[in-house]
Amino acid sequence: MLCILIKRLNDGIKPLNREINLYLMILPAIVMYVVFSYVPIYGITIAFKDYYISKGILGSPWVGLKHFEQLIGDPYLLRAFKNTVLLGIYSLLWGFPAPIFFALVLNEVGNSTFKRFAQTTSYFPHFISTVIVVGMLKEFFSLDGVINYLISFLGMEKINFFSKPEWFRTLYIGSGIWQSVGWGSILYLAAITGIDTQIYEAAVVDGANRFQKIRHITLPSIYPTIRILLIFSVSGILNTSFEKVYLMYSPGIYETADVISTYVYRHGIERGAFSYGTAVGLLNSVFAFFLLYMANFISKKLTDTSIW
Amino acid sequence: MISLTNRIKISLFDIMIYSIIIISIVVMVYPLLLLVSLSFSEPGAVMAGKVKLLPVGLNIANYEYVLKDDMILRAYFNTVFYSAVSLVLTLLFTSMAAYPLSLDRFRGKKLFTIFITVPMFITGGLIPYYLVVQKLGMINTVWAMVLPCVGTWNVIIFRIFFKENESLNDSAYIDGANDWVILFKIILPLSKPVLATIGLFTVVGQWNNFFGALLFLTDPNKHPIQMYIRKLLVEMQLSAKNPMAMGDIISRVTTRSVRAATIIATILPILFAYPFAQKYFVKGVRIGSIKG
Repeated sequence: MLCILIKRLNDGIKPLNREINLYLMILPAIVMYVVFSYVPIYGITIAFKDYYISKGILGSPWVGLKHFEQLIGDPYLLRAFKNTVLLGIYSLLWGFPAPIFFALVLNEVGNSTFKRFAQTTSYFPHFISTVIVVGMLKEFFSLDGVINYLISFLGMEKINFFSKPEWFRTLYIGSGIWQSVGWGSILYLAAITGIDTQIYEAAVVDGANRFQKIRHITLPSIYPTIRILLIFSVSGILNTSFEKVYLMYSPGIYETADVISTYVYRHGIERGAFSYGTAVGLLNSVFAFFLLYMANFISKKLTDTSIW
Repeated sequence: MISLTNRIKISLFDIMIYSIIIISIVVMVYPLLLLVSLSFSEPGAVMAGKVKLLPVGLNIANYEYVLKDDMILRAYFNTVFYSAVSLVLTLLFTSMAAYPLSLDRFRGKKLFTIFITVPMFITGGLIPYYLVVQKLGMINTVWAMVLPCVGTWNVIIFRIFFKENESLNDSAYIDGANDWVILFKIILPLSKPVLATIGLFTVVGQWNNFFGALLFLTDPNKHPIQMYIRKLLVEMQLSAKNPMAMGDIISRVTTRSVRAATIIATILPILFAYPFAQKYFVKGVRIGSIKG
């Protein structure tokens, strides 16, 4: 009798024991999320306090909206915000269509070896670090660099690209496209290969030329992909690449180059104004979330593609 | 009659397409070629801006410099170290997290899935993150660079892959195998494509990591190679740690050419891994895009 009882107990506990393994497995990841994601979320409260390192987050005194009031009156922050938005919008304008265009063109290449070669070389820049990309930029666009060589060869005056505010956006966006057009086209190409070839055949019968095939078949077939990516891209307008701006800018071109992330870095981390920096960051996150929500909402209304 | 349609028609459209593609190949490849040429050219030519495509003269002093400078070697070592540690920690902890989430019998599945998805939308921001790292005493340590290694996207990718093999682990489970055994002896060996893809992305990501080092590493001896290159960008001056041992190499290099050589040497490992990894990358992106 006892034996049967013990056996029954063991059978009951075994599943629990076995399940503990699963909890143990996921434990390190959960701890990491708590420490590196959730605690910082709690840390946002610093924006409403005067943070002192010695007192820690809990011990620092509440000051309400003091930092936000300071924010509003700060002309440099306004400038950084303007730069961030402009950079984001121009990036979108030029950078969003580029991979689509590239995918459409690549798709038309007949020779498959050549096509693969072109594809491979196009994703390569994606794997180069930001530091190196900026290193290349600084090398090629320096006063003794190839670009200026070309410029003086054409009879024009050399340009000191990195010290002129008006060139910053072009360089930033141009190099961004260089890095991302190939990689970005992968998704579109994958979508294009999914298109039913019979539609193309029917179009040929109707007398469509290659241009028309692209315009009326290929492009419309990838509209859903385009829409979803557009939503993400629009909501990402406020996300500038801190690394790239930081490496490319200098005090002389802050008027176009200083963006919110670099501003937060300079004030929040370099100068240690932790609470103020957090307040700026918080505002930025709120705007970004609002953009995402609006983009998704508009897309839902105009079409029926949306993220949620 | 000989049919005229045997001739290959090259339309205007084709010419346009091929021109665009050729331009794109040139634009992608030329910067790299130029850097290689700069790194092999005579210092005089580099300074005078004479190097436009091919090397002017043949000068290996730049690479000699790279191989002899302690700072550079130290930086490479750091980069390799951080990348290796990142690789192991990421693959280990991400797969360990994804496995329970791929099992329907896991009672915490829904809760934990939500738990790791929320931070994708809400983030504390840079400064609170920095302060947490600081409070944990991880500033200026390798841990600040490698410890936060579980990313939600990666977990999702692993989970999708694991789910495909669910029947296998179910039968093993019924046979009495415990989950650790199932994960490490059955599932992971079957998951080589995912491990390769995520692994490569992780290594490349850590190899190229600059921001983490900028924020958290105050000791130059701990800097990875990206920080060193950045120093070259900012200072435009070579400051070798052991100038005596460099000897006459210094007279045969310029900052610009050493910078080019360092960049090439940093890109090289990625260039080598690239063709092998390529098929995995594209596949990984496709899985992520279709299911994501």
